[in-house]
Amino acid sequence: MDYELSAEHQMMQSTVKEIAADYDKDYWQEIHEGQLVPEEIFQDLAEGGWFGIPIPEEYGGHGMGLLDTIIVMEALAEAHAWETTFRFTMSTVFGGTSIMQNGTEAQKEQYLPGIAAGEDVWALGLTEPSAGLNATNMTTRAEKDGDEWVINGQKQWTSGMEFADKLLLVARTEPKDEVEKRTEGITMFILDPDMDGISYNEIPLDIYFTEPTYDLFLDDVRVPEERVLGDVGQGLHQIFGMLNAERLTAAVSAWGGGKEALDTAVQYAKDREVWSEPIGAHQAIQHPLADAHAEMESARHDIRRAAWLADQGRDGSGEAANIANLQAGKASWNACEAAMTTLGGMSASQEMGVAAAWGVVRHLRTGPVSEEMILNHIGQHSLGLPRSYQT
Amino acid sequence: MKWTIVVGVKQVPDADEVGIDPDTGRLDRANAPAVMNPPDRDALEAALSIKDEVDARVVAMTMGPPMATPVLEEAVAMGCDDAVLITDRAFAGSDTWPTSLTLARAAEYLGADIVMAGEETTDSSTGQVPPGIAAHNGWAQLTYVEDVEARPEANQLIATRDVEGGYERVAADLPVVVAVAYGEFEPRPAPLHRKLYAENDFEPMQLTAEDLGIKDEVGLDVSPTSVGGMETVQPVERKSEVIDSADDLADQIQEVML
Repeated sequence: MDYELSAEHQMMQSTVKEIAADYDKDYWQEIHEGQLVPEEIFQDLAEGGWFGIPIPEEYGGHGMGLLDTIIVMEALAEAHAWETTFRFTMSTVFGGTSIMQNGTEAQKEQYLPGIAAGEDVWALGLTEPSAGLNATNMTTRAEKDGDEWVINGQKQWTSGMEFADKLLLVARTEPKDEVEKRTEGITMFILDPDMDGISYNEIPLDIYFTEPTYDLFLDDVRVPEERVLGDVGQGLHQIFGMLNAERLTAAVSAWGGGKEALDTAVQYAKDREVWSEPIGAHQAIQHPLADAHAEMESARHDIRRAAWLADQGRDGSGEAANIANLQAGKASWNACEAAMTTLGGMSASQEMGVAAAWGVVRHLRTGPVSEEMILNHIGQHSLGLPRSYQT
Repeated sequence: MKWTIVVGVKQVPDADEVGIDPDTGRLDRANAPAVMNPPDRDALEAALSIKDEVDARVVAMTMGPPMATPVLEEAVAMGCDDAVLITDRAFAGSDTWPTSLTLARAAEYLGADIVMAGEETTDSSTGQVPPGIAAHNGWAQLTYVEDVEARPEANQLIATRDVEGGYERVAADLPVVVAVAYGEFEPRPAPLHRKLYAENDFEPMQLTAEDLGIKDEVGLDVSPTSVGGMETVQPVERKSEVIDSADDLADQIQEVML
C-alpha cells in the first residue's frame, strides 16, 4: 500500500499550479464581480491538454484515468482556481466519460478529440422541472420518424448551455407507463446546441457559478439516428457510470470551495491582530479551523480512493463515490463556516472570496445529488436497511 | 528552408532559494534547488515563437554534468524538438571564454542558423557568453533583444533591441546569435503530453569535447579569468531620522546648508 503521489502526479500538480499562479485573487475577484467566464485560464488549461487526461491517446488524450483527473483538479483547487473544476465535469466527464463508455468507434473519432483538446465544451440535459433526483419521471420525449428522432420537452439546470459546443440530452423513447421497469425506455442523444427547435433562457442566480445555468426547451428537434449514444432504451443504465464520475468531480469542486475558504481564513487568522496577537492564537478561532482542516484532509483521501476504485473497475466504487461526495460536501461546508467565523464581517467582502465559495459549496451538497439521496443509498445498499423512499 | 534554432540553457541555483551561510556570510548556493536560468527560459520562448511563424527546428543545448539533464527535459516539454547535453570532465573550471567556444562549436555541429540564450545567467551575470559564441564563429550578434521577427525569404532575423533611451530595430543575416532581454518573452506553460514525453521517454543526445574537436581548448588551464578573492561587503550604516513636519524639515535642511 503506497499513499504517496507518484512522480508523475507530482509533476502534473506542480505544472497546473504554475498555470493557476498566473491568475491571482484579483483576477478571480474581477470574474466574480463581472459574473464572467474565466476564459483565459480555461484557454491555458485547454492548450496544455488538461481536459483530455482520461481520453485515450488515439483520440488525442493522455490515456490516464479518473484519479489522474481528480489529482489535477485538486491541485487547481489548492492554487485558488477551484472554480475551473466545473469545466472538467462538463467536458471531460459529461462528454468524455459518456462517449468513452458508450460511444461507437465513429462517435469516439468524431467527439473525443475536441474534448481532449479542450476545444469542445459539453452540457448535460438531464434534470427537468418535475424530474430532479428522480430522473425516471422525465417527460422529454424522443419519437422515431423515419431515420430521425424528434425530441420535444423541457430541461432545467442545464449548465453552460450558452457556450456549449455539444449537448448530451437524455429523453424518454418509451413512455414510463409502457415499460416494464421505469428505468428503461430512456435514451441518450448527442445534440448540437444550434439545432432547429432548441431554445434556452438563463436562470438568474444569486450566487456566482463559473458555468451559468439554463432552462432548455426542445420543440420538434430533429436528430439523426447516428446521434443516439449507447443503446436505445438503456440510456439511464448507461449514464450511471458517468454520473458516478460526476459525483467525484463535483466533490472536488465542493472541496475546492472549502479549501479556498479555509486557506483564506488561516492566512487571515495569522495576519489579523487584536489585543496585540494574531486572532489565530485563540482557540475559538483556531479549533474550528483545525477541525475543518482535519475533515478536509479526510475528504481528500475519500475522493482519491473512490476515483482509484472507479479506475480499477472494482466493486464498491459506487458506494465510495457516494461517501466521498457526502464527506467532501460536509467538510467543505464546515470549512466555509469556520472561515466565516474567523473573518467576521470581512467574510462578506468580495475581496476574500469566501462568501462566493460558501454559496456554491452549499449548493453542491444538494446537486448533482442530494445528501439525503446518498444516505438513502448507503442505508439501503451498504447497510441492507429497508428502502426508505418512494419514487 | 527549415531553420535550426539552437537555444543555450543553463542550470543555476534557484535565486529565490539562495540563502546566506551564517558562518561565512557568503551566498550558500549548494543548498538551493537547481532550476533553469530564468532568462534562458525567455530565450526558449523567443525561439518557440519563431517556430510558431516559420518552418524551424528548435534544439536546446546545455553544458554541464549529467545532473543538468532536467533543464533539457524542461526545454523539450516546452516544445523543443530535441536537446543536447554537452558534457565532459575536460570542461571543468572553464570560464566564459572556453564556455562560449564550446557552445559555438556545438552550434556549428548542430547546424544552427540562429543561436539564442538569455542575456545573462543569474548565478554569474557576466553576459559574455552569447557575444562570445558570435565572436568564436564570426557570426552576427543581436543583444538585449525584446522582440523578434523572422524573414525567412531574406534569410534574416529582425530584432527590436533595448538601447539607452529607446529601442532600435536591426536586421541580421543568418547565422546570428541572439541574447534575449530578460522579462520580454512570457514563457509558455508546457502541455501535459510534452511533459510526459520529456520525463518518461526523452533522452538527450550527448556531445563531448572530443566530439567538438576542442579537447585541448577547454577547462581551467585555458581560462583567462582568475578570481582574485571574494569578500562580503557589509552595507554602510547611514544615519536616519524621522522628521514629523515640513517646518522641522526646513529647519534641518537649513542647518545642514549652513
